[in-house]
Amino acid sequence: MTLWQETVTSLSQKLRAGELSAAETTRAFTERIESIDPSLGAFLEPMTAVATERAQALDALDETKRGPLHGVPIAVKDIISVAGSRCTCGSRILEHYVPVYDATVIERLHAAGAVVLGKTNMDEFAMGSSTENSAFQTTKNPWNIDRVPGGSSGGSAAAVAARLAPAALGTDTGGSIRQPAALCGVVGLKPTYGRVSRYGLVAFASSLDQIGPMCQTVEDAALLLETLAGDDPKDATCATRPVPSYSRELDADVAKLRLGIPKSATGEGIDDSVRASFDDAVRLFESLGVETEAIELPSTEHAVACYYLLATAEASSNLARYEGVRYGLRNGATKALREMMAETRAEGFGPEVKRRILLGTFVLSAGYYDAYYQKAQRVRSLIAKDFENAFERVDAVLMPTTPTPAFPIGDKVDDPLSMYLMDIFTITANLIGAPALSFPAGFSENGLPVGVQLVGRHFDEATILQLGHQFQQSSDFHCKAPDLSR
Amino acid sequence: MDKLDDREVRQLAELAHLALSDDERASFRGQLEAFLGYAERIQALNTVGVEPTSHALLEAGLEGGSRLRDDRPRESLDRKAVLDQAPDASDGLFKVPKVLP
Repeated sequence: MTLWQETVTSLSQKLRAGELSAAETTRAFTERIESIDPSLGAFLEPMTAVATERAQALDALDETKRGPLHGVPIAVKDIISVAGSRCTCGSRILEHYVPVYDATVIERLHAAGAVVLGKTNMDEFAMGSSTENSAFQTTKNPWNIDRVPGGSSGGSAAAVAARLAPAALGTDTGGSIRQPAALCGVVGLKPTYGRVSRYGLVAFASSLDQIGPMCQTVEDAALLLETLAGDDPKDATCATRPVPSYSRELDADVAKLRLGIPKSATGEGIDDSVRASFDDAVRLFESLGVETEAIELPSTEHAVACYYLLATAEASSNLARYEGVRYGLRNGATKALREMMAETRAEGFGPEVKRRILLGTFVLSAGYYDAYYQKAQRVRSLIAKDFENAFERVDAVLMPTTPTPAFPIGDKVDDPLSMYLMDIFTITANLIGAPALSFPAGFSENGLPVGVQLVGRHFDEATILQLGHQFQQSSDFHCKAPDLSR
Repeated sequence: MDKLDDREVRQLAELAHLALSDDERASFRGQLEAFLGYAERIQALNTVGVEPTSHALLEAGLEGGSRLRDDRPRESLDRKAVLDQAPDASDGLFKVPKVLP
């Protein structure tokens, strides 16, 4: 196996043992990015010089000071602050913005010995399901370059799928880690709301946003979550409870665990390949001794409407900060203040962001607040109740991650509603704040990856990681990589 | 939900500080109507006696929400480094265009 094919777990063992140097490891990936990424567009800004320098410094470290991710290169979605490197959020309005501090997750990766490889492409401000809403470039799906990689963390997913990085950070507000992970055939974990600090993450919808890992295996996701998770006084919504040793608990007995299968999981609008892979996944879990049980989640059919009403309301408020005063673009500088602001935002934001700001402004405006915003908040409670009832009987819920495999580039850009409906299975975990893990579970007839996801109880990442890991011990979907020689 | 008219879209854009062209307003109007038409379905759900959720974990009875810390001065970001990111600054302050037209 060549170096760039290795998992985080395997690389970290070899790096810590001194069988590989951090410099040669980083070089293997930076060279691969240089030769392959021009055809994929996963990275907005490779950080070759910084990464090389850091890797060399890590090699000079005393052996006893090597962290758990010593020398492991990691790509970072361009919505997470890395001091001294541009953080564009895929938007013209932040094209030249350079954060002056590291996000807490970056501090933690650095403390564990990881090397930040570069910043990855994304839908503008994480709003989208295809990465086509990036103001800078279209990222291609490594399995078929005419297809989208999913979104909004499409650059991170494509980078891991093409083995341009052994792992990447993504963010998930309505599925933005899991959906691109499924469409690119990699693993993606959205932790429990509050499990990972968001200090230094540019906010989209603050009651929903979470940072999480994207990687080749569930084992890697467990290892990465251990590093990322934990209390942070800089994020008031961050949970204080201790972080379990997820990676050491992966082999716990899963037989007798109970898995809920929602009746809606194989209903209307779901592609045959997704249904087939999902049914196979159910059978594989049953063969591991896991008990399955049909469950009802009656309110989840309203999840898409509920989510887009709430997420846009929160976004319209969060994105008010881009007004051409404190950072980023300024347009119409010779005009009066209010006109300058309106022109800066008109110039700096793309169509999807404007659309969501307008929708969120509508939802929050007098006269509609009760009928839309507050109604959606009440529906959110009903959806949470559905899962609460389910979790009294089952330990986790299994669902498809997406209704279809990757769709063609350009297919849905002019039809926002059909794009929103791609999130039907992912947004419930965000609305209820629960952890959810997507992993590869098959391929469509034309060779596109298909994913399934496990949703767990709050703060019970351990159970879904165990189930996902043992699924991967009995399957090889995650071992397949796209052929990039075409 | 009644149809949105151009006056309403114009007002939303003004509230949101977005300068939009006539074409943009027309196209956003249709798309907002399409979504709101779809979202109309939630009105049929009975939510009498259901509390609104603004924080998933608080509703679930788990920790979360705002935590207070001691109000003590501590190191902050470097002022010069922060102001270097501003489109315009002077004398240690953000500078804005004239407020009155």
